[in-house]
Amino acid sequence: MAEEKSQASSSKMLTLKASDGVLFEVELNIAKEMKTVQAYIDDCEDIETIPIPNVLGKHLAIVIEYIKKTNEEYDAEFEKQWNMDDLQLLLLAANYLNISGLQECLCKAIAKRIENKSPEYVRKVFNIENDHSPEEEAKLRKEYKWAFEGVDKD
Amino acid sequence: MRREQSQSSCMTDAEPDIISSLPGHIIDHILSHLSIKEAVRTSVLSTKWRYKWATLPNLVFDSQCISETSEDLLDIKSKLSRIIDHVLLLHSGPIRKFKLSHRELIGVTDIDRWTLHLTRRPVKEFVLEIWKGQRYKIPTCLFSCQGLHHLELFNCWLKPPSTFHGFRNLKSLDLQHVTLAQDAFENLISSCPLLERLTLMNFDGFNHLNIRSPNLQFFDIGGKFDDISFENTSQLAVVSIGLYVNFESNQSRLHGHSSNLVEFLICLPRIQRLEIQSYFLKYLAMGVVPVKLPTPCIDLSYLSIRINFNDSKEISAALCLLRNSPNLRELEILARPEEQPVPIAHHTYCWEEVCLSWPVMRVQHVRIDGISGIKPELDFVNFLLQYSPVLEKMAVKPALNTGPELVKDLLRFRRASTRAEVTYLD
Repeated sequence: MAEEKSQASSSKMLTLKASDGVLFEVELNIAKEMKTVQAYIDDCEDIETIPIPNVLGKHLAIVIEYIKKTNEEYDAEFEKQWNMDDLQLLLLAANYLNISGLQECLCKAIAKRIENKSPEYVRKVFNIENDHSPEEEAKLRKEYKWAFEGVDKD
Repeated sequence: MRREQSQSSCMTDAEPDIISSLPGHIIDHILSHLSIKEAVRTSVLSTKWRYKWATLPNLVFDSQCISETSEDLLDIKSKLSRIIDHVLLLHSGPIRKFKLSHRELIGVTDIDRWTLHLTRRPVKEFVLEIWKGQRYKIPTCLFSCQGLHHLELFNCWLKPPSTFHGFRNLKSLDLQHVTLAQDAFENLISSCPLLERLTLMNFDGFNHLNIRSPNLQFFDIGGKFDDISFENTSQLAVVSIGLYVNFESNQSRLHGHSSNLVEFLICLPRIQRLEIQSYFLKYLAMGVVPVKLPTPCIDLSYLSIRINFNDSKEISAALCLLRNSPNLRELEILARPEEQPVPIAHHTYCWEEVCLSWPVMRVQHVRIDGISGIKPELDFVNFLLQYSPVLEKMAVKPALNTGPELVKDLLRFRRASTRAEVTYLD
């Protein structure tokens, strides 16, 4: 009898509802990797459907897949598939859901894409609007001259 | 030139600037994977980004900071100095980690000034590596930095003031190429109650190592010392000791009682991984090497020994360890090539006595490095193969210029384990 019970709890399923209404059925131990979800479960034990209001279905799917598969090899290949916007949204999702392994993987990936690149390139990649006046920018570049040496030619 | 907005206004709606609104700690996390140089460069991205880099919790100043084009050494030194001053002045918020390690950095009074500044931040991890020149004398202010969790120093001289009563929060200490007086050393170790990791490599100023540290779990040491003892170190799980000085067998290095090996192991009841390097086995073999230890090393699962196969006492010490470690899984044996062949009063090791009451060994993986095929080595390997019924892999790497006889001899030996795979690495 005891054996049956433990089998039941390990395959207990939970439903996660993304911001666009998409539903995901996941095993309890997968859901627990998301510390935010874990806290939810700790608070209300009987809950079956947990709302995830900040994350789109498409991103939640990627996050769940990551948790299931994560290992060094997977991590190395993982980040190559996504464009910069997705990477950032995934990072926001990982931050909200409190999954430290995924956060670390994504931060590293984003950093790698802007390593050694010029500010012009970085602005383009992140869609940052440059609101410095030309004089301000020149002044900053002069102040931090040492930081601008040795940059990749775009 | 201002970026043209014209048609792109619809596009910027569809492609928002997500990153600039990410929470500060996430931006810190991303920037922490870039060098300080790159992080500071983000200040020019937009007005919002001007000071995002300034809350970075970890500051690392190393060879990446200064482009190598500058050839004048004095130039590099003053440049590095200006950069660090600049960054420290503009930085705001707590500094968790500070690392300074640059090839051209010589101990300078600038470091004194930066250290003082850091103790006020208050820094938790302090790493200082002086690559060239004399030992740099650590300023007194560092010794009052009670926020420290991790301290790492390379090529430094430590002279704690008389008012120093330890680092209350220090968990990890890494000292390499340091000078420290005997009493200062003992005081330092015993007055850091939370210390869990201790690394000591190449030190001078003290010869007697008395390690008193109730929470110590990891201990790695390599250097010249006369004796070593442990007190109240029941948590030690990983130990690696290298004694870099060879001593004559008649010089008594017997520490205290009748057996260095027994004395050593008595204080390490929970040891899981043990590495005996350089001449340390010779030290342990001093005194009477017992057959049985007062308590077996139940938790020991990994053992690595540097051994002189011409010294039968060392062989006895190695066997004592093997016999009293019932749960050993991995074994590494490194032969120590002696510079002059020891004129052995050839006392062939008495293997019959050993084999008479040998317990079952559960060793699964063995690696043997640097043997050339002399009889004591072959006897040992033969013994291992015969008494390891669950052996899975044995890898043998010969010493240079070893002839093919070794392979032939290895092939001959009987194996207790039918699964054993013996590989010869050329």
